[in-house]
Amino acid sequence: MPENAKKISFAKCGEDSTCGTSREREAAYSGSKKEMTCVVCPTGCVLTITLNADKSVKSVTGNACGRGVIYAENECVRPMRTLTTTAALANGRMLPVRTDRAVPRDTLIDCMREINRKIVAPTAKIYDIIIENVADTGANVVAAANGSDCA
Amino acid sequence: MKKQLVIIGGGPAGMAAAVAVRDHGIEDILILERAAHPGGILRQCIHSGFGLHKFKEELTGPEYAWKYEQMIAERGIELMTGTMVIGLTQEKVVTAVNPALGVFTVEAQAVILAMGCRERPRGALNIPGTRPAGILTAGTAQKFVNIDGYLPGKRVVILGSGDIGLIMARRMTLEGAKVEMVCELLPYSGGLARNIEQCLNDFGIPLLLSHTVTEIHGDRNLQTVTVSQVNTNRKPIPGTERLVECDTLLLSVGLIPENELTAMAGLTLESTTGGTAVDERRETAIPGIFACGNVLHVHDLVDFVSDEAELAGHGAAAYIQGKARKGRPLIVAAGTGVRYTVPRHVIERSKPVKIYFRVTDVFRDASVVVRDSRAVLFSQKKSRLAPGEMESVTLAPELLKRASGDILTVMLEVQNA
Repeated sequence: MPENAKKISFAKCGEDSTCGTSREREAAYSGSKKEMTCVVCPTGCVLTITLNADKSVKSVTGNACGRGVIYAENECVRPMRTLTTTAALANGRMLPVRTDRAVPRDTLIDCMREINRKIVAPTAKIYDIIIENVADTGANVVAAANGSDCA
Repeated sequence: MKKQLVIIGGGPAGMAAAVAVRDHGIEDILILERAAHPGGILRQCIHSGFGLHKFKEELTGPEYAWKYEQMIAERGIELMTGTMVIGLTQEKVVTAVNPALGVFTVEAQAVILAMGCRERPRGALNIPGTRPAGILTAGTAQKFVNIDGYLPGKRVVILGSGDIGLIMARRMTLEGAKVEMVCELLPYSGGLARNIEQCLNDFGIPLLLSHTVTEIHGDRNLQTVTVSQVNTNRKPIPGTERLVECDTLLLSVGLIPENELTAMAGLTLESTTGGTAVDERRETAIPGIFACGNVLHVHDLVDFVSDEAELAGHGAAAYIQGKARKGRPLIVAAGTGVRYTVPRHVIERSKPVKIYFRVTDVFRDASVVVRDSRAVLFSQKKSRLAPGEMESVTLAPELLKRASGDILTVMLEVQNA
């Protein structure tokens, strides 16, 4: 595992960044309203979230579907992401894999570390479980292709 | 060899077209694919976000490809992999080559072009400096990491904020590289908002808008790049230069439809899309030759590629079955604020037609307007429009029939100009 992987921090864009969306969000963060881009699907709805005094979500607008509400609620507490990566096959090829559900964003590097240690049999079939309960997240890592197709 | 239909390219467009044609009763189909496996670029797009429209579930690229591979296999559609098409004539004679058959020709009744696109390379950018190792397109890096299992570098600068560049920023970070920054020449990103969020903001990777790489330094290997801010004319501003240490420069600076065969057949290419002009069933100016997917215009989402390929498939099946078409073409032109429209003309006005288009700039609170020579026929408000996100309007048959003259214009009207 590369050493600098530990240094990754999950921050927003830095102060000197000219990142448009982040800046807009920065301004919107102060007060009881938040604005964020939903990442659940490629539509990328811009969500406006009204917070209660205890910072929990009071209401969400701008979402095109119900998943936007769940996304906003998680995002305010503990952001969740589906991890997609590759695992090495014993024949030297790479097998695309993913978690079968979203995992806490702050566990992504732990998940990567565990997956990068794994050597998978080339006979693996699509949707076979490669790792159970990866990094104690409750999610399984599954194959996203047949090992035999990874040539 | 003779075939009713030859499909050039076994990526998402070619496979979806084949399935559609087969489901319309055409059996004699041949897909020609140059790679060893079908699936095209999806094979290396291991991230998720595919299939939400088409299959109502979130799939990775390989999973999306797998669904179509199974459909092809279930239908017994002939697929020749490792086969490169090297020629196409107006008479629909396809010349191809592979190790088993050598050079061979296929006389086709109809052809569907589904060759996809490729990346703009460094040579198209004219960045001054040396020519060290470590400069590659984002898609090449994606293949190295995801298919071959090699990490091409440890300190990365990404030029261009297209989706592949953003996806690779996250991918390289997860595999242990440090992505210093993503530079974007334009004052806005060409990538999906969601990718800026989950690929850059999640990892604290800065996105420098109105910035570009103005010099490349390094003898054998890349050592530093000069990054400069640009003005509104996209010219570097003197005094804003800074040196950024890196061993890898990834280029995500646009995709070019791969249309050599299209041109060879005598079709003209549009400067806006890089593809040829088609009607609503994706038939080109040569009857019986159809085009779909990224070879026609670069899409953001594979789901829309599949939709378009199905239209081309229905069209090719109808052509082979000799179904006559009537009607004078109604041209769909791109007006103010609209860069291009696909299709470029509509022949049959009895069915709804979805017009895909891209806008020229970022617009807020604009209306998408469709008008004929006399009046506005359709108007729809949009809170935000951006060049990186393909838009569409669906024109109802009654609107198409009501249109006076031969031209419909799709344009934007901006409220707070």
